[in-house]
Amino acid sequence: MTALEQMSQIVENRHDYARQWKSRNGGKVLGYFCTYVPEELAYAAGILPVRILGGLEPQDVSEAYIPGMYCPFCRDCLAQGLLGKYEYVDGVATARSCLHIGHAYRAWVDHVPNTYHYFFNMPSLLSNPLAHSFMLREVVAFKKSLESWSGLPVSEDAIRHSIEVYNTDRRLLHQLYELRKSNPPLISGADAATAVLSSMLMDKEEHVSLVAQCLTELSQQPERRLSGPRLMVLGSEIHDLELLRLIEGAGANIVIDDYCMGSRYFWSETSLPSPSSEMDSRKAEMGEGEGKSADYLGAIAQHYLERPRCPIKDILERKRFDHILNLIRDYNVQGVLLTQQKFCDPHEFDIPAIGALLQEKGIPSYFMEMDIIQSKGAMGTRISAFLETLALEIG
Amino acid sequence: MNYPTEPLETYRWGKEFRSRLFKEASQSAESDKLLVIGNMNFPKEIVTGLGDFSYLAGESYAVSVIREGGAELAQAAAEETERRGFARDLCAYVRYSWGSMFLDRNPWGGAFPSNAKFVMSFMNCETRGKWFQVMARHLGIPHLSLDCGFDESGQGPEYQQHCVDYISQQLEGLAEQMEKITGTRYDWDAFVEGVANRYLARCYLVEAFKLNGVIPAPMEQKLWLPFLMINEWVPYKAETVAIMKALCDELKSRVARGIAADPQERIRITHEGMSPYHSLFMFTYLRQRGVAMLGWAGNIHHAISSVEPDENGGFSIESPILWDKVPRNKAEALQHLAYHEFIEDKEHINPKQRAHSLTSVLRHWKADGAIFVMDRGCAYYSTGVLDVKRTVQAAGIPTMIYEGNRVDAREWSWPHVQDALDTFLEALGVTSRS
Repeated sequence: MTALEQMSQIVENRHDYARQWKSRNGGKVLGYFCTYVPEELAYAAGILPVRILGGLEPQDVSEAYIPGMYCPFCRDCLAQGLLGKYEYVDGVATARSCLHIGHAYRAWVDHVPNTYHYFFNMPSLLSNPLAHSFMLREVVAFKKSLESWSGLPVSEDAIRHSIEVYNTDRRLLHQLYELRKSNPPLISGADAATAVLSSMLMDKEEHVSLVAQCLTELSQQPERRLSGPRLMVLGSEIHDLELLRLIEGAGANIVIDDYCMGSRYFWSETSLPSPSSEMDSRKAEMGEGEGKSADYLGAIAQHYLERPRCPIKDILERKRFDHILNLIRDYNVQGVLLTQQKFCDPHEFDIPAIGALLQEKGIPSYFMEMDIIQSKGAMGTRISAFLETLALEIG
Repeated sequence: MNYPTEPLETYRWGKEFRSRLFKEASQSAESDKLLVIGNMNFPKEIVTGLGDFSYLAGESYAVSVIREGGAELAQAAAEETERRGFARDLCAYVRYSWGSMFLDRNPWGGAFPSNAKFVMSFMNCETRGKWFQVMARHLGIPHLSLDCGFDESGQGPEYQQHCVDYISQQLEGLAEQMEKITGTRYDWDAFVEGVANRYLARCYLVEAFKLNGVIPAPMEQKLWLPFLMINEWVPYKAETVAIMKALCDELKSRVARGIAADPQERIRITHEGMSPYHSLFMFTYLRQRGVAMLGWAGNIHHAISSVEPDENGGFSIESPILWDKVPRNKAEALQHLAYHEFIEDKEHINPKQRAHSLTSVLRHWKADGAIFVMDRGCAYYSTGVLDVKRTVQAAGIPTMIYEGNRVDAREWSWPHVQDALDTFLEALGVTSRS
């Protein structure tokens, strides 16, 4: 089985994977709702962090807790918990992000059995001079909470190792994404998405091995893709890989993305402290702080403050738009699909401005609203129509 | 049996004050008064250090668009926002205030008041940050924002202090930023006075809530409106404190004499959530059926820091009001303001805590039932509403819920709401129609 096939299987059978991990390792599983949770701390604590995902099937259990006006993804996530699909998850965590996913978390805490829950108070004003010190205290508090839950201290070495593993995974995923710069890309958008999604669902070191294997396999036998319009997908979360296959099946190549299940998850690395901070560490060891551990925790805090932003964190100055334009330039994007979960407030605020910006830059775009399940026939017709229009514009 | 009734004198003062505030904000360019735009519950006491100012609160402004501006402006505002690509399920406060801004029309005639020096938003609801981000860009003025701290994991006093300090340090930073923007030297004494006024106004609000717990009720839904609004909008003003004190004095007199807000009070019900401002006839419909609408019990969450926490650290209307905890200096005022924002959010976001404090008021008010509203587009006020409703019901207070929208009349169906109300009233034994 190729690495991509293995990753695809893990995405399809994510619950089985996590159960098997538990019986192999005897560790706890922490389900998280938002990628602003510093999951590398959980990993350092010997806990398996897994992203809570929806089931992409109709459900009728969540509306007793979350009204239908909240985004379909958050309702679908809660539904999976209520239906017992995540019975192996021992605890849940979320970061302060949008009220929708926050509601799913709170309803889960109250109505799905769990032994642990944690709300990570991620700042909203990331450029605020006070954000780093607040964030660092949050990271320290989260670490202590995880230690209390797991019953074991989280050592400096464990944190450092976790950061290194996460950075390696991010680097390898970057290399995978680099393959999408060629024309035609050497890996499909759906496969690249599979690689990223599987990273959120499995042991990071195992995933590192799989991505490395995938890169080797692709170097020996790249995917044979046809040239087609080069698309970017940006917007709310997407974990419906069938939708991405539908888009690419219509003749396009998805070459890059900006959403939390895609590039935003791994785009930046945690900068490990430089050797000069050893002086501060020694000072700290004399009773003035947490030692080197504080440097690593500070590095984790800084990473989450600086990584490409979700619209909910892109307040005051807008950094997100420049990042999107850079991706468009670097990946030679010819058209953009603006995807948005129904009722998703954060993206609803940004998408008109992004659409206007793309129009100003002469980049065609198309808006698609999403639900728990998509009508693939209707979607296919719309995508084909966009691609036809795009072909005329590209020439 | 009809109870004796008489007009609430203080109501006239509250209404007049509210109208004056709207007029001042809409005409601030002519008076050269500092105008600030922002969300209603931003701790605008921090602006008092710049001197006298008008505050255009986006929420109440949006309501004015539909009530003062009329159906034509309301529709035009909504459609203009949608024409620019914004989704119809966004918060209606946002869409209608934006629409007025995009059209450059204000509800009282004339242009949108665009002489604001800056906009302010409080990040306890993500909509507020993005709302004023768009406004700031459109108006070409600075956007100042205040982040909040949530304690959802119950981590204890030290963690709570960390969140409170985060907010209070930001407030200090905002004072510096405002000084730079306006060129006005910041007066911390004025700030302390503003926070002290706010504290007292909220103490009086709690007292008014306590006084409403008799039969017949001296207050009712419509009468509450100006007082709830000025308490949220301008609690830092001395006149707000004076009005709230006058209200409490008058309520004490009404209670002593058995004066009812609704002389036909037969059954007592609350409305938990924002009123449908486009269709306030709903309350007339209920009154005509002998329903005394007691008000919005859950609105007490704006004043919970004025009351001694109960044995579980939560809020109870029966707890004593902390009259002597008025902040006296800069440090105390900053801490109080930050603490209040922290504790109000902590209470609101947690359905169990919210249900606990709400139930205490409903019981004190001797409510026979509570009507909940699930406001489409408002993720903040609708969060946890289903669990809160169920908890209140389980506490023995009958409840119902209807779906609607406080500003966008297109998201409201009176026949459906009427059916739900009729069914609820029937269940409560109210069957006759006038």
